Amino acid sequence: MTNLGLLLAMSLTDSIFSGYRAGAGRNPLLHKVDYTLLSFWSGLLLGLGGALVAAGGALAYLYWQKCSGKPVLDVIAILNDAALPLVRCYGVFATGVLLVMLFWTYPRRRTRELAVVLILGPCTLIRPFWIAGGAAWASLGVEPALAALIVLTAAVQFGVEHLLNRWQRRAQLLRMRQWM
Amino acid sequence: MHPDDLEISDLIVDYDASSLERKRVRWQPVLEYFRGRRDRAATRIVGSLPRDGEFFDNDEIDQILLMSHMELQRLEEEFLHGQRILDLVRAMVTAAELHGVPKPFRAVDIGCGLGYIVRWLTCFGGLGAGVELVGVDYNACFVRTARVLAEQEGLRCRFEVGNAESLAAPATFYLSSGVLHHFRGRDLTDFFARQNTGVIGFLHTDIRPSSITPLGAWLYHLARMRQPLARHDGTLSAVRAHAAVTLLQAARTGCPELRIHVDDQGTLPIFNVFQSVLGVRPELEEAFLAALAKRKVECRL
Repeated sequence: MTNLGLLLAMSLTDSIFSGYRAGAGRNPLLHKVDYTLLSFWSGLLLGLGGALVAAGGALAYLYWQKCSGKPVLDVIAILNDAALPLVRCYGVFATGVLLVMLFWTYPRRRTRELAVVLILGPCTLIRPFWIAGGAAWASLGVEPALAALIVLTAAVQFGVEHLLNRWQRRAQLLRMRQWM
Repeated sequence: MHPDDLEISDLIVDYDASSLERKRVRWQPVLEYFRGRRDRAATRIVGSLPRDGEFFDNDEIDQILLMSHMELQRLEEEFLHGQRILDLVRAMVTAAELHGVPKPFRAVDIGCGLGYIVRWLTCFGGLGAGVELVGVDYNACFVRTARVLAEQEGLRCRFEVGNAESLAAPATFYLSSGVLHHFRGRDLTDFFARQNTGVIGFLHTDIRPSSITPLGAWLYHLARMRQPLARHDGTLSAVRAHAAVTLLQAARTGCPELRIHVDDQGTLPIFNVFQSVLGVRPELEEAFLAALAKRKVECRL
C-alpha cells in the first residue's frame, strides 16, 4: 500500500497547489491571506473528491478481478506495483519543485525573481506534460484495464484544476460585478 | 513580434484628447492592423473580443482589461514590485525633506491601473502623513475599482480619472510602472518633457530589455496569465521595452533641467528584470543618490 499512499499524498499536494494557482491573479486586494487559504483548501477538498473518483475506479477494478477469481490482497499488490512508476515519475517532479521553492526562500530579491521567472513558471508549464507522460509510462506493459485506471487517475488530476479554475473565475466575475 | 508593434490594449481603447471621454472603437481597423503586421495571435485575440455592431463592446472590453490587470498585479506581487518602488520613493522623500521642500509631498502614479503600487505604498510604505499618494489613469473602470479596493482595506490614498500632468493639486514628483514602453520616439521625449518643470523629479520603472527578456517574458506570461490579451501584450511589452541608453537620451532631451540616472544594479541581465529612469532637480541629486544607495544596502532582501 506504500506506493498507493504516496501517490495519494502527491495527488493531494498537487491539488492544493492547483487550488492556489486557480485563485492567484484573481483578487487584487493587498491582504488576502484568507482568500489564499481558501484557495488552498478548495484545492485540497476537490483533490479529495478526485481521489474518491480514482478510488472508485480502483474498487471497480478490484471487484472485477475478484470476480475473475483473484484474491483481494493479490489485486491490491498489483495496484500497488502499478503505482510505483507514477510515484517515481511524480516524485522527481515534486522534489524538483520543492528544491526550487527552497531556492526561492533565499533572502535576495533577485534570486526570488530568477526562481519565479526561469524555474517556477516553466514548472507550471511542464506539469501537464509530466502528468500525462508519467501516466503513459506507467501504462506501458500493463493490462488494458489497469492502463485505463492509470489514465483515469491522471485525467482526474487534470480535471481538478479545470474545475477549480471554473469556480474561481465565476467567483471573480461576481466580485467584479460589485465594483463595475 | 517587433518593438514597433502596438499592443492590443493600445488599440482597443481610445479617449477623446481634450475631454478624455471614452470613445467607441471600430474593431475592423484593429483587426486589419494586426493582419497587416502578420501577428496571427493578436488577430485571433482581436477577432474573439466582444463586439457591439461595428464597435468593440466597451463594458466587456473593460471586464477583460480588469481581469488582465489583476493578473498583472500577481506579476507585481511575485516580483516584489512594491518594495522596489518604495526604495525609490523613500530616497526621493528623504532628499526632499533634507532640502526643505514644502510638505505635503504629492507622489502621482501615472497610468496607475488598479492602483496596486499606490495602495501598496500606502499600506506598507510607512511614508507618513507628509506624503500624499495619488493614482491617475484614463480608464474610469480601473480608477473606480482602485477606489473600491482602497476603501475595502481602509487605505488613505486617492485615485483620479484624467491626465496626471493637469491635476488640480500639482504633483511633487511623478512615478510610473510599466508605462514607458508605451511611448516611442518623439512621444517618449514629450512624455518626459511634460515633467521637466514644477516637480522635484520622477521615478519611472519598466522592464529591462536583454537578449533573454522576450523568452523569459513569453514563458512567464504563458505560465501565469490566463487572458490571451494579457499574455500577448505582456510578452510584447518585453519586446518593446526601451534600452537604458534610449531612456537616458529621451529623458535628458525632454528634461534639461533635471539630472537623469538609470537604476539597474546587477551584473547579469537574468538577475535584473526591471530598470528605473530617475530624474531629480540638481540641488537634490546628491542627497537623492546617497539615500538611494543607503536604502539599497538596508533593503538587500
